[in-house]
Amino acid sequence: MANQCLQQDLVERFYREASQHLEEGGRWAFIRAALNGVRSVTEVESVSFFEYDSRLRLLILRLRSDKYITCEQDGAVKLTRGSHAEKAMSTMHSVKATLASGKYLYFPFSFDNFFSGSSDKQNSGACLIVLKRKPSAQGFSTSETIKIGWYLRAFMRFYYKAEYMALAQTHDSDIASITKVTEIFATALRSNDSFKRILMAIQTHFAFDRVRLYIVREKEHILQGELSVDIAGNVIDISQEKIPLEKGMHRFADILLGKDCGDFLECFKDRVMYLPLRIREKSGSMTNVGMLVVDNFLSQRSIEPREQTMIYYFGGHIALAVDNIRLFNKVEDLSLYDVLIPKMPNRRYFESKFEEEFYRAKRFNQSLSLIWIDLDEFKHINDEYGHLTGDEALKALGKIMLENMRQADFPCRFGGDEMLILLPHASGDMAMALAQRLKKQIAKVRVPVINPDSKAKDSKTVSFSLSIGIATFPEDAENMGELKKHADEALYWVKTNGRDNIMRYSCMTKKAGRKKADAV
Amino acid sequence: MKIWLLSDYDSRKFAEFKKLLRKYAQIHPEQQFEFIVKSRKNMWLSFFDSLRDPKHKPLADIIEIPQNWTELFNRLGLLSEMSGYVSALREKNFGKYVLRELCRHSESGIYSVPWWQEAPALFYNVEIINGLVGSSEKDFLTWDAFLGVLQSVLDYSRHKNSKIIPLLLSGSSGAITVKDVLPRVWSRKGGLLFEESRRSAFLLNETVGGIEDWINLVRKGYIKLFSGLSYYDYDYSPAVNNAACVLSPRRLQKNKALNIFPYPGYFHGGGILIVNNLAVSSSSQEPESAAAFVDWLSLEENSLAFADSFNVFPCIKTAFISLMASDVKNEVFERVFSAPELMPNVMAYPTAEILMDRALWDISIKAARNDCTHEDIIKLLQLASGEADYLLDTSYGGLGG
Repeated sequence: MANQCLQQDLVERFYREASQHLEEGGRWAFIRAALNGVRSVTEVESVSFFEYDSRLRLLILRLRSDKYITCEQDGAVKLTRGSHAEKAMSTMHSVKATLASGKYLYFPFSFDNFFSGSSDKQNSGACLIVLKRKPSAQGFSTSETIKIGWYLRAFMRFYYKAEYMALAQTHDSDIASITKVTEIFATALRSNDSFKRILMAIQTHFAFDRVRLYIVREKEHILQGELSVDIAGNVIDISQEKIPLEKGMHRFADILLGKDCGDFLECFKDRVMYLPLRIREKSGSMTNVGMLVVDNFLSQRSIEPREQTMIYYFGGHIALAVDNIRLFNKVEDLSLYDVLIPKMPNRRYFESKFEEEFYRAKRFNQSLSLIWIDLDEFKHINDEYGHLTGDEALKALGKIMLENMRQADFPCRFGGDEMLILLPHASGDMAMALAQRLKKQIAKVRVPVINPDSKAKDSKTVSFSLSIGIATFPEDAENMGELKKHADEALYWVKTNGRDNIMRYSCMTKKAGRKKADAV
Repeated sequence: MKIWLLSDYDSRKFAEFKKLLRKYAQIHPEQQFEFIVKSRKNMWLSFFDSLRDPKHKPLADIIEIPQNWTELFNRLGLLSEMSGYVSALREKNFGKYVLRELCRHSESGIYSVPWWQEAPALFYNVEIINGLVGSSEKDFLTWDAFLGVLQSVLDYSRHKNSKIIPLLLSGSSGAITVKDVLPRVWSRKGGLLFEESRRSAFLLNETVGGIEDWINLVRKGYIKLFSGLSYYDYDYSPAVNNAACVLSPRRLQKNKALNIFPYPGYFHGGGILIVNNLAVSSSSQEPESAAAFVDWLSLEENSLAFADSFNVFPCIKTAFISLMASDVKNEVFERVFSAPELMPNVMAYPTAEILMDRALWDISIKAARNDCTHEDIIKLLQLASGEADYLLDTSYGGLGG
């Protein structure tokens, strides 16, 4: 009885030690503690722990403990017919053996592996502990065998309890993550970098080696890469990846279009998941909006079934978020950008940006220039060659503007043939340099005349010139209204003085001053 | 301070390490150490676990890694720069071949310190080879001649119904691994990745041929896979005594029955060199103390004692030279170390190695059942190659290639 109490104390001590390392070592912390425990209740040279793979009939060596250390191992031994180990595994009773290399005790046991869902009930979670003594040492007695058996069984009872607790913890953490991640998906719409937020949310919870998002571009009929986020948190633009949405062209397209991909998916299902993002239309039909690809190719860590289930669960949310972002971007495009010139902000967008930039320039005492451009004789072009040709001229001007600006500059189509460019942190000279560049490039442009009836391009072309006015804060204006007014006045000066020229407000006032002085 | 070491079938490695810790504690009694041993697979996963959840799964302060993991984990931001802390690095007290692989990009710093190394050589039982089978060392000059010797041993063993086995792989995990096949693969000019590391070379004829050479050893009955012969003993086991030949990367000279010869086909030297390094994690709270301990371990005396304890070689050049001088049989190893090749320290190589090891495991399972055809090998390598190529895709978030 006293002996049993002593052993109970021992089991509890090892249990406490193992519990401390549960989070770090999980099951292995327990087994490590169990082997140390066995070595402390009986004299042995070494104790080894094997897992049994019944399909391959292999004993997989996982841990080994000797007088120096208890350490993880990688190795496998075939369970040969008629061997002592085979006898122990088939009867699930301990077997003693004396061999040339030493005295052995084979102690089989089985984890109640209700977590794995294994269909192989007979050998589910079957393991083998092998105790070894030197050839010269005494063999294992019956009482020792009973003692070790009692110890291991008692220990495993604690183990089940700990594993159950760990499972409950994982479950709680999953629920918390689902709530957080779903919230991020739902609010991603309002963010400027919504796709990045979605991918980062996935990485925060799952931490895959890589997660990539591809978006369906309906017009181009392609699947285009959007972003990739890796395990180190690097965000990479993958927009150069464009996959034609046709069966047989690419694996991604095949998956999205529901074509059979052979055994590829089956082979790599543990390390990669392709999640087609689909939404249900009002008509009830499903529409592909994109694809999420997560993989663990670099680390070769398996994507656990639990993770797979959760990613599938998130699939619908992600699809909805992606579709919302797409719709939001579309609406934003319509409300902020010009309908004629691609990527050219409209007047409303410009006004809000102007306000921001002017505030910043004033607050930090920085210069801010405004270029006001008018396409010369635009009315004449429209009347002479038709509105379609006039539109082409505007598009050509817009394209040249967008190509020549700095990233910080902000253009807009202000109305009709008038265009503006806001140049934060730019002096009048810098604005002048840009205006000259635009004027020079426009002079080379030949816009094909478009037949208003057939809408076909004519062999005839038309060229045009620009009138440009420039005003700069703070030298030319004290407030937003003045800056605009003075840029417009400079432009007006050019238009009334022969067009095809550039005028800075400061130069214009000097000239006007001189004229006034001359008159006096 | 926490230390993670890679597991080893020879636990004298850890016994010696404990001794060194005690010795260090006499000089620095304030320093507390805790070390655990992880299998290679778990060590690898621990790095990724730490990336995923650094708060709950932090890396140890000092970690033993295979030398060719350095580039990958440095690029993932997990290792500390060491060149300023370890005198052996400043003095370049390592073999040129080790330094070359350690500093592929010399401008970016040094993120691990070479610790110990091993190179496979052939050990043969003089009594069996010369006496019973009547072969001599010249029969080990080429791979084909070597196979001839193994066949003679097998014939003898079958004829005499003896327990002699033709070939034993010391420290084998049971299956054939990358480390086993690489000397043959390299000798045939194959490899795991093409030079520029943009594509896998798993299906190159030369690579497949090298693997097939090893599977033939199983097919012909020269080696037995998953036999578990090397788990319980280091180098004096009955299994070694019953083997005509042993391929081992460790110095088995202490076994008087064995003579040493270069790996078949590498008579003039060269071949694979396995190097293990010590790194300090970038998340260490005591990086300077950790580096100081690594510096101390790299002292000639400590480096030599550690490597000698489990029959490997120290990486510290001066320690290596003094070890070589200690045993006349080391002449063969001197040749082996004259122009060895290390596994490339490039980003994708460790994963390519894992993929190849997985393919070799499946091949080994089939081979152990006498059910492994050339087509099976190709099919399994095709799958591994597909996955490796996917990994090497340049768009792999900056991690591939």
